[in-house]
Amino acid sequence: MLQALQQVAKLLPVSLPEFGTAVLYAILVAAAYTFAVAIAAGRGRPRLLQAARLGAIGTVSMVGLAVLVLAYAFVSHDFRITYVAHYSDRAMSTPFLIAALWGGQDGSLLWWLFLTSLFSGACVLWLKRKYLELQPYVIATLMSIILFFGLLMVFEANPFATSLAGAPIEGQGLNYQLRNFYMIIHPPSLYIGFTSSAVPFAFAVAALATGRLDNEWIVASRKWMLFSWLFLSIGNSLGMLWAYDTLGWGGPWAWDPVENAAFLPWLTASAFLHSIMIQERRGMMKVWNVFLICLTFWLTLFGTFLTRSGLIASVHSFAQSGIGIWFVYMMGVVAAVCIALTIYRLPKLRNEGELDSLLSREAAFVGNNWGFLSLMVFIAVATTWPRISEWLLDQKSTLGPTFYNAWLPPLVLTVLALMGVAPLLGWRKTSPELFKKSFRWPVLGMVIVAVLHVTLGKHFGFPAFISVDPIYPGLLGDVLSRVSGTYPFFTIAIVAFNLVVVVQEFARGVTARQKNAVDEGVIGSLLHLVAKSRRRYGGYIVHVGIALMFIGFTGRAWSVDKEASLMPGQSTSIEEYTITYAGPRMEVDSEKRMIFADVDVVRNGKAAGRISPAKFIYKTMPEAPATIVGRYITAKNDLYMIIGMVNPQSKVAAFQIHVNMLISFIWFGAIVLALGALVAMWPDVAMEEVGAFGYVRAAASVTTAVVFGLLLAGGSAQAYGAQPPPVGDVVQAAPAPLTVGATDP
Amino acid sequence: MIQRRRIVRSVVLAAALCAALTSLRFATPAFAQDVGDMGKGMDRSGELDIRSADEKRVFTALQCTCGCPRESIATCTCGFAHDFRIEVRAMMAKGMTLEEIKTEWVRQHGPGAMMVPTNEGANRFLYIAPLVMIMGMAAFAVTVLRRFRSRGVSAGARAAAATTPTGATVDAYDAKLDEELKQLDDQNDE
Repeated sequence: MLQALQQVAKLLPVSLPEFGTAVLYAILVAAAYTFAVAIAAGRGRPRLLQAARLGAIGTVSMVGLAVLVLAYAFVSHDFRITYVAHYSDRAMSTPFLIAALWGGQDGSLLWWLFLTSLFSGACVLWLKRKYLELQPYVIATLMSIILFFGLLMVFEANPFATSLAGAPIEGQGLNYQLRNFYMIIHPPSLYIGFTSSAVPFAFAVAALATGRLDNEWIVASRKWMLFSWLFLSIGNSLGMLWAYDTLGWGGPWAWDPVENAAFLPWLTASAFLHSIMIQERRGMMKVWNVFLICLTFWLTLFGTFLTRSGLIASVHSFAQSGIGIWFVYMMGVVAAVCIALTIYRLPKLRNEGELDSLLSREAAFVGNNWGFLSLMVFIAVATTWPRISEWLLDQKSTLGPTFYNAWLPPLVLTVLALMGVAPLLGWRKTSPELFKKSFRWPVLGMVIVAVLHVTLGKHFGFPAFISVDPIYPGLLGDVLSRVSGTYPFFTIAIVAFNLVVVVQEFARGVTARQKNAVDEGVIGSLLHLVAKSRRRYGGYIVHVGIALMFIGFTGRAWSVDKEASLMPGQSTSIEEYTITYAGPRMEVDSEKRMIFADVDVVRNGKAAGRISPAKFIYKTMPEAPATIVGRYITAKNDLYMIIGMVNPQSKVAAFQIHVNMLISFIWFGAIVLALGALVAMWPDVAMEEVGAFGYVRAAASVTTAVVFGLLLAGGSAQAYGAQPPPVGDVVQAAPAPLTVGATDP
Repeated sequence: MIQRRRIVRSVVLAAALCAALTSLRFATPAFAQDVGDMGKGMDRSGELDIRSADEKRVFTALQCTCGCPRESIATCTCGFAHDFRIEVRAMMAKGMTLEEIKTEWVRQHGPGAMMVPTNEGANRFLYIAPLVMIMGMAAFAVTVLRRFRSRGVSAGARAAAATTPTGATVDAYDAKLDEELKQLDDQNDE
């Protein structure tokens, strides 16, 4: 295959880098042409619509070609291309060579463009003869986004650029932190979430531009937004797993600016997926829904801007470059277009319905939207605070996770509580009798769990109330600290409330169904219920997933950390574990030395097996050894070990040991969440739904859910890969002590 | 006439926004900081060496100034953090309180070296601004709900007509299910 491609490449009249750059220019021309033709089609020349459709497909093909050229350059080690030389070397395996496509700035922008194009193409194919009035503007909007990324790459971040110094013999290789299976799947998942939000945005712009603001465009937008939301959820969950499993932070989330940047559009997309139901049911919140779609897309640009501009220091930051200002202008244009069009169309965005009662699902959804947007505002301000502080106060500032953990939980718990309350309230209004009846069991369940938690929690190592250090001196610090101490109690109680609500809703649905279909068993009724009302019950399954994830997040309150330096044969204890350090062991492969510290784990007096936290020292980056976490996983907790240093003479190893309580609930909850979203977005079998997009959604969702599930379930097992050393094994030939090389402050 | 005014208003708004953003660009210091390539800040290879819960509490409040982004000396494994920990341990041995250590840390490394900015002066803007915005949004939500509500009450019969699902976009099965669930609740009440 590679040889065949090499033969084809030899036929090119120009070099590969020149060809790649030429393709980028071709993308610009094709996108500009398609944009112009689409606008003309929308402005009274409908015959040009087909030309616009073909132009869009042509543009997408060009982008695909550009990605193929870069992928080929990686696989064939074409180090004439600076990007290839910088992010790969000859020792890298093919999967990592492909992953290197998005490992650096320029390539990840091309990858971004590719995914946007892929969704643009899928959207154009799906549209066919649907939404004929909207189509030209949908295509024009998508093309303008492609045009922006094309311009960005041609003038600022060309992945096919060559170096004046010529091609090096060997490349620098991909950063070891990125040579991880999650790197292959985590960024693409997030990018899919980010880029697919361009489609609902395009529909919003088209609806505003044409004035066709009936509910037609909302249906299309909702489906794409759910797709985008699913992949943002998966991308964020995989990001947590990557951080937990690879970065050795000891936890999955550290409120890093780039984590936050990926979380912000998730919040607004979540708000939209709820508020859109009000518009569908009651014809209300039209301006708000347009605003949320535009804001979600805008936040994807903002997130990219944060990551790429170097505006905020983050562990994820890309190389220094001048692309930040491009994103500022793009964000400005998007904001200006959205605001101008919305104001222009305000008369057509008037509400049709009215609110009958504050005790209604509509009111609960408004509350839920307030919660999501409040979280978004708080996190956005905190994330950009270091820069705000520099601009306004002329002083450098940093914001650690402690700040977020002290301030955010009340808001988060409010949203979590509303998540349980909303399904219990009826549309339009809820009578006092129905209110009491609906809330009876969930409240009872919550009270029982809360009482059990208070009385028995401490006995099992999960106290309801904990002690938290104040982050400020004085009254405010004391208040925050006291309130923080109650979060485990409230979280577990609200989670219980949510779970009972979902069980009750399923039970009510099954009962209602069985009243009408007497020949149906309970399981049959349940399956039919979910199959017939996928969106509603898929949503409830998502709620279960989120509730489970919150159990995992709360687990951090009960986690225990310890540091220990052990001689071979020495033991230490933490919680129910006794850990015995067996000794160090070294293995070598073509690209690295691997130094393992074998540790025998005894849990509750019974031998549980051996884990081997390690340091990997890559030949290309010996100054920065990679941390390989050792984990022993149970439903109750993870024993999570990192080695800091191994002394080659004494063989003493310094360990960081964490017992992370209930953390598996995060991964399990994420799987349930993905399955719920899959149920909700499963395409209808009605004829109008059978089309390219239906299949794309179904295939992509199933594949992703399966892969995601396998990854979460099986990925953790890699820590067990190391075999115990044979008796009398000679340990390493005195590697340098693994203390870190100091870097310039 | 009204439409033309609306167009003019939209264009003026869009232009003002673009102008604001353009001015932001000139007011903005250089975007690019020397943050290195992706993943460089992730390097972790040394020992942490935290000996007690008290040490952890103090170390967690102080930022490592080695260049690792957002790392406290309780988590940063670089060599500088190791030296910092020794330094702070010595302060603790002298009997200095957490607040005294923080003050000394700020004196040595500047106010940016705290993991949470001190709760004084303009730093309060950090939590006051979002809280004000959140309260403002809450007030807005309440106002909107009340407006919707009062319109609903006054509209009377019109509201009843308007509350039917707005066309084919609502899942027919969902509407039927709602109706059946309502019936079920009513039956159980009887």
